[in-house]
Amino acid sequence: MEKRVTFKGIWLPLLLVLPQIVITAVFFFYPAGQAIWQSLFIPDPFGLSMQWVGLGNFEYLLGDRYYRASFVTTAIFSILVTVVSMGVALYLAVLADRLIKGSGTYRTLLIWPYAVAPAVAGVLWLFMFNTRVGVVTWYLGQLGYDWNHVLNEGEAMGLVVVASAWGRISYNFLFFLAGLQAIPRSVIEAAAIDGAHFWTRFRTIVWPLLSPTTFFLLVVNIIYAFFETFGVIHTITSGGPQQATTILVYKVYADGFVGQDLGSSAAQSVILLFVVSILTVIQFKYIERRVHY
Amino acid sequence: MTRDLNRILIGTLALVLAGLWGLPFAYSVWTAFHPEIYAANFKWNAPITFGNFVEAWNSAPFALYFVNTLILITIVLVANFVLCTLVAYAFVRYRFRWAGFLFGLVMVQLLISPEILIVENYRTLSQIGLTDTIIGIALPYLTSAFGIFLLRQTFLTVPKSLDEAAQIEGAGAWRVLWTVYVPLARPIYLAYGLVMISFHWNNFLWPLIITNSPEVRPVTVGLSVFATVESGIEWSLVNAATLMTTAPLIIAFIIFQRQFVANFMRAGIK
Repeated sequence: MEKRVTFKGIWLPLLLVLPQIVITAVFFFYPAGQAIWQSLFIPDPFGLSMQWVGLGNFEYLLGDRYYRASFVTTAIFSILVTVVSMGVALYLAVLADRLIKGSGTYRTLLIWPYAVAPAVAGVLWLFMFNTRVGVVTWYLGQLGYDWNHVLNEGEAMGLVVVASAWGRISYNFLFFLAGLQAIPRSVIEAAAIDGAHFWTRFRTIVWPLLSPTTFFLLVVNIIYAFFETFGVIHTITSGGPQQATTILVYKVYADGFVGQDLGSSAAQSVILLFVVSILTVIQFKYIERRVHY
Repeated sequence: MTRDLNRILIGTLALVLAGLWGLPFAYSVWTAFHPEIYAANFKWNAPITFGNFVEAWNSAPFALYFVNTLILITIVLVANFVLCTLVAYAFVRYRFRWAGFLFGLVMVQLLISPEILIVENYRTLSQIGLTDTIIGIALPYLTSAFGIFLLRQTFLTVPKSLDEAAQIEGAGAWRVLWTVYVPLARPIYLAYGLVMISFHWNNFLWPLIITNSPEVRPVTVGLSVFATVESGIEWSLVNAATLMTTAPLIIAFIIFQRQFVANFMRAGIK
């Protein structure tokens, strides 16, 4: 890379960076430190003083049946959302890639749900599966199936997974399509001339060449499932029934704002912070590698 | 012959799937434009009505919600453009002490999802008395490490000769920024601005907890409050409201498709 013109001086650049640093400090570093600090104490019942408990909050959390259940719920939920949204997206992208004409129109048909907020996607799906007036619930009833996600934990999980995956498929579709179109036609045609069928070509050429895209989407979708699905869960199940859809971020919200249990909620934030830092580092390592080589 | 048939089959399958895809939304549109009794009665000649929209519009302060969202987006957009530009410019054009350290500090923000820190940030805002205000919703989002990263990458591609030429003409640091760097990054501003708009139009968790009166609620939170009212609000109204609040963004998204897509790709895979 060519050497840049750089200028000396420290006050102007520091001045330029200052507002950014202030905001980052107040809304990111201070609260992160606060969460770590707070997680080491419990407030007394009157809220007048704090008592040092060391790692007591963490010990309590990890021993807490509901917290461990929430961990498992988050894992199941994230895996399902990721697999469903990526699987369907890949299938659609392969279809679109084989369309010679009109793949632009097709793209438009598929990507608009991305603009629908998770909270709104929740409303749309809740309406279809509403236990009283839902049209799908009604048809299922005609078939003899009694749908009730308000009581049935499995059905509740299924519904939030589908609603969360719905808007996400658009995003994944775009990346898969771009990945597929970047594969040189000549390679695939050569394999076809050699007599390789579609499935063989996909398995031996397309899938391996697509793996960087797949890996990137894997990380991004897990992060999405961890945090941005809050709106879906809040509108459809509010974490129920019996906390069956209470993922970790929903529990931070429920314990911190509804339950007002600050020490525990802070410890939960710290654990989440840790998990998401690892995920992001993996993601950036990957992007860096892509940019440089 | 079989190839053609194959192609037609694939095309049909693709269309059917895309249709299936749109079903939840299509159903919402159907209910919104028809009287309540046709909600599950799909007759082609069912009368079309706009009454649901009028009634929904009148039963919750949606006009206010829209204004709030517009104010919020304006604040966030202006602040991000200004602050991210300044920071990116400083890191690209100047070599100063602690530059590496400060850049690292800025980028660490990418690790910290604001959703994790809602409880702590809520406390900070209540200490400075800014809960339940639009500026309170905007504050944690006034700058973004992602925006800085994007602009920095763009500024790095500005040819050194242009910068020097501007200086020979007698332009100072501000003029160089304004006349050389910013115009060259225009597509990035457009793409980043679009992403910011869609993010804040749809953002939910933080605005939900930081606001509790309709006067400051953005439109997505307003809709969710409207839709979860237990007092037997009609679903046709909910659907009309859903359409009103999402249609502007969907239309913008379709119009600016290319910019959105370009931006996704830039953020992810280069």
